[in-house]
Amino acid sequence: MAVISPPARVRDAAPGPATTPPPGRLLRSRRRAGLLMVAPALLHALIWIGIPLVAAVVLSFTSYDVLTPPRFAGLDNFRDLLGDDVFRRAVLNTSVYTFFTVPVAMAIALLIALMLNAKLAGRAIFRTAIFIPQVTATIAVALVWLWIYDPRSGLANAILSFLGLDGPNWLSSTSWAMPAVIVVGIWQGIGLKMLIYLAALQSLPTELYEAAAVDGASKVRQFISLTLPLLKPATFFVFVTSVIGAFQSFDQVYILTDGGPANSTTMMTYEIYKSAFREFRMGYACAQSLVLFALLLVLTLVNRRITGGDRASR
Amino acid sequence: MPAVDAVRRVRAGRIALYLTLSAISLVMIVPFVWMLLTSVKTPADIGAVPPRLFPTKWAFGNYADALRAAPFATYARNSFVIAASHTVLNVVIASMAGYALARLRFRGSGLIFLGFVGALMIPTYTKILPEFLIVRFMPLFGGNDITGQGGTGWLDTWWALIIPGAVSPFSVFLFRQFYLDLPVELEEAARLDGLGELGIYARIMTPLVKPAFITVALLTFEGSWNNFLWPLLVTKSDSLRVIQVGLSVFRTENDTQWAFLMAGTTLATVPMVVLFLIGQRYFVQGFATAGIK
Amino acid sequence: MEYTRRSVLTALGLGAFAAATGCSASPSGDGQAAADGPAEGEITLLTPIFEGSTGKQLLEGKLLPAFKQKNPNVTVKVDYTTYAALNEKLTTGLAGGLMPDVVMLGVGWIPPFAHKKVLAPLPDSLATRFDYEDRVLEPSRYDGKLYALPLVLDTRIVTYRKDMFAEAGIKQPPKDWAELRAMAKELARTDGSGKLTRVGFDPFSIDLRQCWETFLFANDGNLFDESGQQVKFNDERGVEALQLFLDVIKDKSGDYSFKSAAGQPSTLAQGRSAMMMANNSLWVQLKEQNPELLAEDKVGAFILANKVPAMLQGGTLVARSASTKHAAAAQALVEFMGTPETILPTAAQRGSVPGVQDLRTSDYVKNNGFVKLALDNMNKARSEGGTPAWMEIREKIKTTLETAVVGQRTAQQAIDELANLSKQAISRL
Repeated sequence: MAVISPPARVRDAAPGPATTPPPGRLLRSRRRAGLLMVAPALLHALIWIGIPLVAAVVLSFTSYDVLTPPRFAGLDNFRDLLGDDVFRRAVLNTSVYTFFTVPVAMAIALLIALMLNAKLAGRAIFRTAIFIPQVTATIAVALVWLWIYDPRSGLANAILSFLGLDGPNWLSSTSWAMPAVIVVGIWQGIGLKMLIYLAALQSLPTELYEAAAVDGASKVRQFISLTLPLLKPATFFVFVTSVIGAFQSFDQVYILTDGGPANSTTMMTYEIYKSAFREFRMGYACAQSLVLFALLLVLTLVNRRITGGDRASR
Repeated sequence: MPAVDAVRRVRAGRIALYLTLSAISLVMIVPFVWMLLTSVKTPADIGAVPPRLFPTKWAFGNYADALRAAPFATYARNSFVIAASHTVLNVVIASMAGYALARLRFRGSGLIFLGFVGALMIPTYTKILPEFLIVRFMPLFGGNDITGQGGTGWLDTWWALIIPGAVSPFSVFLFRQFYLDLPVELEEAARLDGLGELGIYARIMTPLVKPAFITVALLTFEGSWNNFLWPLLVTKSDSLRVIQVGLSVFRTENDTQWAFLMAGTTLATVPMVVLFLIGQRYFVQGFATAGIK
Repeated sequence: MEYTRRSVLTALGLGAFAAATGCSASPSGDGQAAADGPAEGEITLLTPIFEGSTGKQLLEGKLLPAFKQKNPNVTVKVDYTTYAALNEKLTTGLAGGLMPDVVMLGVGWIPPFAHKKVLAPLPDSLATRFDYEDRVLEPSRYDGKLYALPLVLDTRIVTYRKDMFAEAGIKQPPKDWAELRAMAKELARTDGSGKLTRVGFDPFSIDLRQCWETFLFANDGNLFDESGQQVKFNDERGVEALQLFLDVIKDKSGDYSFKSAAGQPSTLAQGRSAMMMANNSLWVQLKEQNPELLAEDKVGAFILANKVPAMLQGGTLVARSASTKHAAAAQALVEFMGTPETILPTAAQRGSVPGVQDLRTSDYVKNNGFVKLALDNMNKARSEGGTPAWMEIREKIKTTLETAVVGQRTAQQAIDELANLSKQAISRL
């Protein structure tokens, strides 16, 4: 059986193989072009994201209620953070939520993308239908799920009682509210991931598959040895952005559960929002944001270390 | 006969595929359908006990009434201008940056890339106050002097609506991933042909990642179209407000006019759906003919 | 190269930001002085009400032109927002030094804002200009001064199904909690398998915070002391108030999952509850969605009482900013917004209670049973708030008390925890 693997055509393949390295002038012009091309985006990010980040760091050392100017407060905010049971719960909830929604949504999205990659009649309609949750207003989505999860007249318990089971109180139950929110998260997250996977699949070279088919490889074999490795950049992207997105979930909490019952579904961004805009404790909110930022940074770096990031396999 | 069996197996597989996809699609569109149905209900139907899925009286007039509640034509125009600007700006600037980070080696590119990814990790609500202040204290605009004091800066202007959201790190990251996988040989061949880096980017590489462009365009347009809080914060004049802000008039503190809200929301969602239907048609096999000989 | 560019920009950003927050948020003391002089200039009005399809027409088509007639030299620019985004609008405005000249705030917000000198006091003569119930003006006061005028009020009352009462042979609404509990038990219904199909009492259809506050006040309790520096709700009156919810749940005449969900008719309208805590605006909602209930006189309301009758009063107040450059104009607008001519159509448009007693005889009040009840009982109104640390404390109430309702803690523990958090918030003032 021929070994099937994608040819080493990625950038981080041996730089400058057997051929002579490019002359210094060319390299310099390439470097200059690179800097020039990245400059507008970099400048934009430095202003609109860099400055707010610096501001957040600075403010986290102050007590700032917005009604009066910021007052230096040293490490007070961080000390309060350590004793904040609710925020600790939020960190836990966010982690649990991310842990369950991201892999499941990614897997389902990839499967659907594979299905929609084929030449199907009406695939335009399927693709649009599956992407619709992404563009449907959050309020409509939330209301429908509120109805689905209604313990008495909702769809969820109706289905369960059809199967002979007694449905729980879902959003009013401290044990079931989080699973309920997780299901909504998965459901809502599929559309965007599917789109990215679809785009990635469409960019794959067909000759490779033709060659593999000629070599007699089964569809499954093709998938494992060709598709998955070639999808690494896309998978890395989907994973990182999904984790970041999941960590910053807000709408579900805000509309579905208001963080309850009894803080069982509150998440970090929701706590940050409450501190900043409801309790008028901007300094504390910034300290909370730094915790979120640090956690995400660590997670991303760890992921990069483990999976080698987006380096496609040889 | 093995041939007939094979054909039958393929057909059974196809049917299974269609069934699965239909089931999944149905699950996905439930809120959208609910939104449509609610938008044509009368208050009596909305308050019906026990709750009814389908209206008994089809109140198509809700749409006309909803449109009359606020200058939605203006809001729609504004939303469109902002979303289109964001899309164009983002696609151009982010793709350039993504390409540079993916294919052009220069000092600091790794760190810059990490910076863009890190930029995604700052929650919106943390950024929003500093961003507002930057807009408000923008020097030499809106009556501000060189230190940014005295006037209102970019507040209540198109600048504030368009510039801050013009480039998203998400798009830069996405473009980079898509540009990453293209063959080096193409690049080198183009260089031998005498094309400059910008030319390679624009003429050779970019056409090969069309799906990425469509994706970023769709997502940018959609994100901008559905944005609520930022336009609310930086504008005061009705002539600059956007659709989502306009729709919020239907949610009062005491009561919500569900039918109007859903009607308005449906109208706001339909352009997105249409855009997506059109856009996804360009998701064609990118590499079908551009093989390497 | 990138690094130095970045650090320069960082320094610039830091400097600008520090300068911005430092310079902008200090109010110019002039606004604090009496608003003498002619009313002129362009002023901004930030409003979270006057939404809805008729709200804007009312404000800009009827009210503001009337104001313009009286004050021809004043131009009013309206900034519409939603109540949900009101805080964001205020914080960004404040931080940027662009506080609107006239603002509308919720009940309970005055002490925090007045304490930090963001609002300017109003002349005391405005308190007697119309017939206000004393209680109604309480939330507008801080430190003895008047800072705002009530525009529209929203009260929390107990609504009930008269038909269900009649069916159970109950002739009068409950006079105290013992009766409430007994009646709730009688009115609850379960199906064959023992599951609740109708609760006797649904206190959870309004926000838990406001519900508990109503019960606290009905138990003759207080949230804070006069100065707003001491916590007073953690005595046995506060605990009993919370305990009542737990008892109702224990009796199986109430359930935390039995509450009105957004987008659906209320439990009362659905016949899933016999008594339900509600906002007086329920009347308007019933009129639109379930008019037969009102037409057939199936719905009534009463004021909750235990040791004393109490009606929680929320609402929207109008105040003027301390940093306004056109103090006289701003004050003129505040005064105008507080007149019955303004209040009546505003209240009518939202199904809210008008803030002045002069309007008791209006048709609107006469035709809205809940509003009439509220106005008749205005002397039993109590408001939440009462401390400059309210903005922080108010956020913590629901989540902390919820732990008791779902059975994670006892009522005493939850109240103690809340008292603890409140004390911390007050100490940070």
